[in-house]
Amino acid sequence: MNAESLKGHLDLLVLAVTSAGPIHGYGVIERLRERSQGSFDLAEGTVYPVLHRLERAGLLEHEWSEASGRRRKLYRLTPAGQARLVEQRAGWREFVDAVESVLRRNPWPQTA
Amino acid sequence: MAADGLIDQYLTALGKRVRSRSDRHDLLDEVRDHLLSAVERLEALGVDSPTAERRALTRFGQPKLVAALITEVPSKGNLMSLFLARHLPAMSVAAAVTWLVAVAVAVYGQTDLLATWTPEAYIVSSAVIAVACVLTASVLVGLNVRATGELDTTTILIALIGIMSAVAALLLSWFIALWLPLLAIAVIWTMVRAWTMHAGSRPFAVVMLVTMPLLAAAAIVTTVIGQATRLDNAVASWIVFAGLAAVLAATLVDVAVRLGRRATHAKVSVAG
Repeated sequence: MNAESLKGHLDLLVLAVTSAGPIHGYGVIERLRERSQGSFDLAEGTVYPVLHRLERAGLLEHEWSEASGRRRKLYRLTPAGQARLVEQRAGWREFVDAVESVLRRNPWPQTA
Repeated sequence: MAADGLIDQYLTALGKRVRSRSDRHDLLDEVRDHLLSAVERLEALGVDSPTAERRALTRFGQPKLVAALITEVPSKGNLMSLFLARHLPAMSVAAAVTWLVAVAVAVYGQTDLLATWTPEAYIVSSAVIAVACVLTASVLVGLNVRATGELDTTTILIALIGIMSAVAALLLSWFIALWLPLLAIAVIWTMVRAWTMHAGSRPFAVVMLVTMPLLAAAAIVTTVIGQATRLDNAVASWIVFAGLAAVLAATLVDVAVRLGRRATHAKVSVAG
């Protein structure tokens, strides 16, 4: 999986993963790894700037809790984040469908 | 436990890089929870604890790179400060280029060196210098926001001094005894504050801390001598101005290159 191609979709992926309920940064990475069957294996520190940026943009909010005797920061979607997720998910489907239909018209291997 | 040792060392290293941020404790607690969660998971899979710690730290990334990415996002502040903090490299390059253009234009707009001075050239020259001051002030705000994580009162004061220098340059660009020291104050103040965040290289920071007061003093002396002796000091002023522009442009490029390089190194890396 190309790093640059994932980078462009990281916001959408993080929003999708946080929509299931309050989750900490480590959980976000684990869920991305699991759901992608290991394809999306992030350099783990890079998820925090994404979470912080999405929070600054009002799409996520956080609360602190206690877990195993230490402070844990849990993120969840705000209503604005929920709306953005729905919108971006629809945009992504449209894009994938369009690419798919282009690919179908040019079956590979092509015979000239 | 050896593992705790390594993680504590990592957190200390990271803590130094985000030292001036007001949300420092929250950032470190968040990273600590992440690293300990990763270690616990690896240990549950049967990995021994020193190996688990090392692996967790490797997967997280170097403190320098992680800090550089995290400080791109201010914890508090408005959209403007968020924009400035995230686009610091581009802003720095724009400011550096504008300073170099300003030096070239000032030859025509402020002196008779190559062509006869005209009011039109003077107005253009003043405008370019003012733009360079505004861009530099924006970079200073971005550096402050990255260092502290918010748009605080000191940063706003530094921004105001920068804007004042721009206004002074626009109205009285030939009077370098006013706008140049103002800009120097804003730069020095930021340098002192942002020292801990290593935005640029240390040698450049030292060069700035030494040359900015000297240039400000030179600007005042040149103007005072010019006024007292009624000699034409346009060329001397231009030389002082060119010195300022050269030092600022070099430092701004250094900041841009270093921040840019860090961001590239720390881009999302994907296995497989």
